[in-house]
Amino acid sequence: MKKETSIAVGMGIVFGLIFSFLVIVNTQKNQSVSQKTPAQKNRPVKTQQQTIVQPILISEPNDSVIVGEASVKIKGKTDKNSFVVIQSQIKDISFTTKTEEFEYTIPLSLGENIIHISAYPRGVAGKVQEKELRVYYLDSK
Amino acid sequence: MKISEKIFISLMCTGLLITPVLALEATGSATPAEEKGVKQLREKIASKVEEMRKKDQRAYGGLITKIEDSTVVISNNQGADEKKYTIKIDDTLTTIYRILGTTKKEIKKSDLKVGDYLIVTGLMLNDNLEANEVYIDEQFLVKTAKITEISKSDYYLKVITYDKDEYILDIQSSTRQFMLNTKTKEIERAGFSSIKEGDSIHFVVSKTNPGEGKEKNRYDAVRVLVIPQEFSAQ
Repeated sequence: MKKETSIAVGMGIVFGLIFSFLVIVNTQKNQSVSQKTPAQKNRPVKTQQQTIVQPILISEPNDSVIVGEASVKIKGKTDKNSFVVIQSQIKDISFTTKTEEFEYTIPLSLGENIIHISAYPRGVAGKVQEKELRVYYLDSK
Repeated sequence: MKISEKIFISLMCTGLLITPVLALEATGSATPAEEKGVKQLREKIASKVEEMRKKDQRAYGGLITKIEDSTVVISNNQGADEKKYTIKIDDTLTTIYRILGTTKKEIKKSDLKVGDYLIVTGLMLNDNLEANEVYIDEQFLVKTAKITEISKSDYYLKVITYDKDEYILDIQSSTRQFMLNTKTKEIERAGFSSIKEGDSIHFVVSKTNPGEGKEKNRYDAVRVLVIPQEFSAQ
């Protein structure tokens, strides 16, 4: 046998071995995928949840309203179980909403009162909802 | 016409004439209790009418930018939404007060100066306000923000609001500091050392009295309420 012939036969054997090795590895991979149970195949993929947060709605009082008493009732609506902070220049009030609606009476100082209402919805990080009102307590006496 | 019909008609006419007279007599002889009831009812109606009238009444606030003979221009100073109003002050009809804590003191128009924060009530027509009452008041800022930097040596907090406005809050010994206890959900007094970057902060500052020598958007905090970051993440 000539020298060239023996080199060609040797290379053929080497390539054949490499090819068969690749085929075996690939087949094993496919088998492991197909061996997964139907439940495993149908498992939902964990994706980023898109939570819709209800903005704060204030039904009472109107913005820039004039009142003649040293307190005002705040009536509004936000997500259930939200942590609500009602803040003015003289008082902070905080509570957790049991239903979507909330109602709280806050004291007023004479003149302009900026009332800032924030709601932290439960389980939604960084989604603070805000509303600001101005209420004018102008004693007519 | 028969006699019986004539008698019937004359009785009807007599009845019609007598009834109002009797009614008048009855009104005149109302008991003191009835009079008191009527008075209370009148007062209730009057207060309800006043309440309904006031429900739709609004006031306008802003900083004085210009003072002329009988007018004052105020600006609500709210950035892009800035609105200017011309206030017409009538020496005989407009009353001007200065608010001092829980009381107010009547002052003169000459006491007004550029930069004062005014609250004005009256009739608005095309951004011109015929003033009934004018009050000089302290202007506050009440906001919610995120703490971005804490200086433990100089006792200040850098914060950014959800509208992307940045402020520096100097925590003074007079600043009232509160923090939410995340376990009990009660608001408790807190110290500066317990505040962390990333916490939410509800703050009150006085724009009228920001503190001595302050740069723009830097104030002495009047009151702060801190909501720890771990609570927002719950």
